[in-house]
Amino acid sequence: MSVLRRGWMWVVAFGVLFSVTAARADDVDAIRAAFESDIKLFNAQNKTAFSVNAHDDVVVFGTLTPFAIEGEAALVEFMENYFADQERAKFTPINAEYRAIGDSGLAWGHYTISELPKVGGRELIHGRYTFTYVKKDGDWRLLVVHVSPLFVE
Amino acid sequence: MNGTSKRFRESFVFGVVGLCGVLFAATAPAQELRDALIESFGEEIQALNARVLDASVAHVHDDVVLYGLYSPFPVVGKAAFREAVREYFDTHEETTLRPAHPKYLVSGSTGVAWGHYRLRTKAKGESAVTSHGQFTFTYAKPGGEWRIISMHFAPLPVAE
Repeated sequence: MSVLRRGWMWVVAFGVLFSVTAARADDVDAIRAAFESDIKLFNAQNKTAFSVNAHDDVVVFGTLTPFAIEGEAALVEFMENYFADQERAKFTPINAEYRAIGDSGLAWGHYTISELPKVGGRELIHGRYTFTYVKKDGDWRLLVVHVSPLFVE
Repeated sequence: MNGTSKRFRESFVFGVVGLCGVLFAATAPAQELRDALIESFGEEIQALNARVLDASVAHVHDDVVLYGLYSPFPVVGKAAFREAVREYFDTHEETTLRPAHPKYLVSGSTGVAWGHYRLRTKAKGESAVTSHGQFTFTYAKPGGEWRIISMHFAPLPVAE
């Protein structure tokens, strides 16, 4: 094999590797943006938090109810009722991590939810979260949220 | 029946048959994907309950993330997952995980098995304990096979 041909093969191999790595980095950035957008909405007490970028069949297992919330409409209604009971609620992610595997995405880490209910004292809930995303028509959609408390102060 | 209406009827019948074909073609693989996901989930539960380490790790992706019941921190990667499962088996004489009303979601090449569980464990030298909680297993299909990319277990609080 000539030196020239071998050189071209290396260039092509690096090109493919670079484009795959760049695409994955773009996906991770897009997952991070989708996650941060939902947290921003939650902290603004917006009832569309977790549903505005969600898949139609979104499922939420939360710290706020032992039962699963299924579907976008049920989620909006749940968030509306939840925010109606709060003066203020804030979700702070801790050690947030993101990953893209093909068309599947993950955001995971720890969190603190600070709740100031309209009735009762302030509560701090510390726990873990896993958000699952799916890439549909080029956009990352939230498919499942699993938020589980470790302890409450 | 004149020629025009006969042609219209034939076109209509062909159209309906064609549409049914397209719908069937779209639905059949979706059902197959779902069935394969259910089978993979069942095999994982069976392997954990049979306490077979290799089989318990076989369905797991290299980059798996586990939020389990025995540490507040995530277990990241297949090697760490294997070690966590080994420790779980080594420290318990008996472990039975029973999913309660599991549900399955498939969207493209992402799958989710989720629901509640009942876990009966007997740590060495201790009495058996039963706990209840919620689980989510997330799957991806990188090489044509469902692989677990995330497991999240969360115990429910015990009623007082």
